[in-house]
Amino acid sequence: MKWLNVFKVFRWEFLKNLKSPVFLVTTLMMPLIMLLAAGISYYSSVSVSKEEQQVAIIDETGEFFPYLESKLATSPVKVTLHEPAQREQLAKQVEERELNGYLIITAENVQSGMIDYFVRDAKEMNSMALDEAVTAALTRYRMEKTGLTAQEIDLVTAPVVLHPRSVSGEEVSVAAAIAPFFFSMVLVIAVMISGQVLMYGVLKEKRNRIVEILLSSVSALDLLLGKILGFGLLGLLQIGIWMIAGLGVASRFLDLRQLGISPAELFPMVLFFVGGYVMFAALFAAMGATMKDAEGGSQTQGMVLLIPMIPMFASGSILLSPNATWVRVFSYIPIFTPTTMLMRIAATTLPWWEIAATFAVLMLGVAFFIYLGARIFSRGLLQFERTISFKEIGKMMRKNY
Amino acid sequence: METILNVKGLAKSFGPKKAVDKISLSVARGEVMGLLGPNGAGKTTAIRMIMGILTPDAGEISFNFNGRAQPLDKSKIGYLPEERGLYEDVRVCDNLVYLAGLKGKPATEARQEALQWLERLDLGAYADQKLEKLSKGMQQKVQFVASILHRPPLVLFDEPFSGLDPVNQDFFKEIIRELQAGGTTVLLSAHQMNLVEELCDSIFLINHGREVLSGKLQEIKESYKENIVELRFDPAEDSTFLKMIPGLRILQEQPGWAIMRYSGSAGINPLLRELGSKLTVSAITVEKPPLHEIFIETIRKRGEDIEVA
Repeated sequence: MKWLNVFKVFRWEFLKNLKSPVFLVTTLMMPLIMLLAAGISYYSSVSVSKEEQQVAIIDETGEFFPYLESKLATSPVKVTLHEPAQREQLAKQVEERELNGYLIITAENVQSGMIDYFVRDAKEMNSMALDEAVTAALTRYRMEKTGLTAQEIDLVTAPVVLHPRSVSGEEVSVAAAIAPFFFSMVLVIAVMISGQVLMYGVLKEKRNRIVEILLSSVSALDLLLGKILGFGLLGLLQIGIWMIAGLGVASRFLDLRQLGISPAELFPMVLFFVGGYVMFAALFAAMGATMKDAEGGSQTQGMVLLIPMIPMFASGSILLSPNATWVRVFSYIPIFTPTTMLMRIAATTLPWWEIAATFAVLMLGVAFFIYLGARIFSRGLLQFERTISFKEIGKMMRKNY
Repeated sequence: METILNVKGLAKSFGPKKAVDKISLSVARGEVMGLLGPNGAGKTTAIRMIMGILTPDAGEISFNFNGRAQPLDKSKIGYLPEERGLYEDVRVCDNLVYLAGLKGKPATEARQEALQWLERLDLGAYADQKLEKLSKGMQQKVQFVASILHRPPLVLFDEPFSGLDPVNQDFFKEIIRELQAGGTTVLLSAHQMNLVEELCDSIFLINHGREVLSGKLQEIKESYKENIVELRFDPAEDSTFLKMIPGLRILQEQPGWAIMRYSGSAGINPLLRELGSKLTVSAITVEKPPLHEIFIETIRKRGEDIEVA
């Protein structure tokens, strides 16, 4: 291996792709798309909860309605009291969308708690606010019926909040729970984008046949490392731009100190991030070398690209129980190590030896995948006319080409 | 003569197929050697092993660039693969500078010389254009320049003439002669032997991965017994005696003209004497058959078949 050659390839790949339209588009579009998505979900959640609803109540008990009305005093859900005889008329109004729906409260269903809510289309109802209010009103009504005083009721219904704290007394903030997910998301997105750009870059060099000319000057390992580093720096630059843009926007809405990531956590996170990137990049580049064209990438090759994402599918459980046995096992499987550990480091405080041990595993994985990648790379690159099967990759591993 | 490249017992198999089967060859400094054979004979595999792109199963390859044997130094070799291409979305000049840079040539020097080459090839106006703007023929010229811009003492051209139009073929031949005159050693492969015959000092014929014939082109031709004789004489004269001459076979005949094959153990002189004594010869040419024929004949004598992949 010649570091000078690695550097030359690195510099070329970095500068060439920095100027490419793909980089510009993904770098600029990504924050815009995220902003748009965040905007849409924020706007829709606000508008749905503020949307006014008209609900008619037929109260056969003659007592329940005031309880409900007081619970909904400040809510966008408006209730009106009606006589049982008006039921047909109400049904018509619901059909004609003058009302969102109507409820019938009887002595019987106050007891059983099973209350029917009649709406035009059961699928389109948005009854969460109403549900909460009815439940609260009904609880209070029942308690008063059993003879409890107002003070006693307030005591019983006082809200309970389970507030997690570490043994040392530290509070766990919501923002601190979101940050790890955010960081591992960024890793996966960055790896996916720059990994795919790398993969298609390799494929393109293979397709336009320049690769053999390159291999007449540098070794396959030099070429692979140069490319990984070039695209790695490109990926970091891209993440940097996204982060600055993201934090800029976020600081308008959130107190950034709540993110709760300390430099002591940030350092191992960066290590796992970079190590994970290099490992996946080697894998992606090798996949590119086995493909004949972009369309020809087989199902299996597509599956390989999904492997880094597997811990993301379990991210909820990993964040909630970062020290579960299966999560620990995951941390020691190199291909899952970076994503899993990124989430664990931010979700909990890990002993230093566990960080060191998993990082050692990751480094072994990096070395292995670069070795594997370079072998597949050098053999696959000259197979111009076809896509290489996994069986053949296995053979390549055993034989010197 | 000093050799610049020595190959001993080189072998490589892909699965059950022996692509290259224990070949040995040496290339003398400053000569043009042709590695010739049909498609699929193992030429590309052999060249890729010499270039260090494939690892041999067995055999040794050594180089001698400055008076002592040394292992592969990629920066000292120029390489034009059979399957070739450049970065299409990159400017012509940048393509050349990058590739020369990988061979160790400083960028400013590479740029200057690349521009000179492009001027010479009438591509000066395209130096700052993206490669994709160039026609296929123009791109081929640029690829050729890319393989020699760093002035290597040894160049490997794998099928340099395949896919070229006749104008570029002549142009490439001219450059190869120029390289040779400048002391560069050239190893080139080709399946169209007639195209490269005139360029080569020595040849190495290969079929099914094995050596068929090798040596100085001149010596091979001279040791080949058959000659092609074209004869012009007075049409009024009787030439029926030609059919009686041992070792002579008439290929085509008209009054006053005949084209024949002759192979005699004592060389061509006895035939010339006989023709001179019986006919009024107005013109006569004696030629060795083309390399392609020698190749096919040699293989036929060995009872092998010729694979055309």
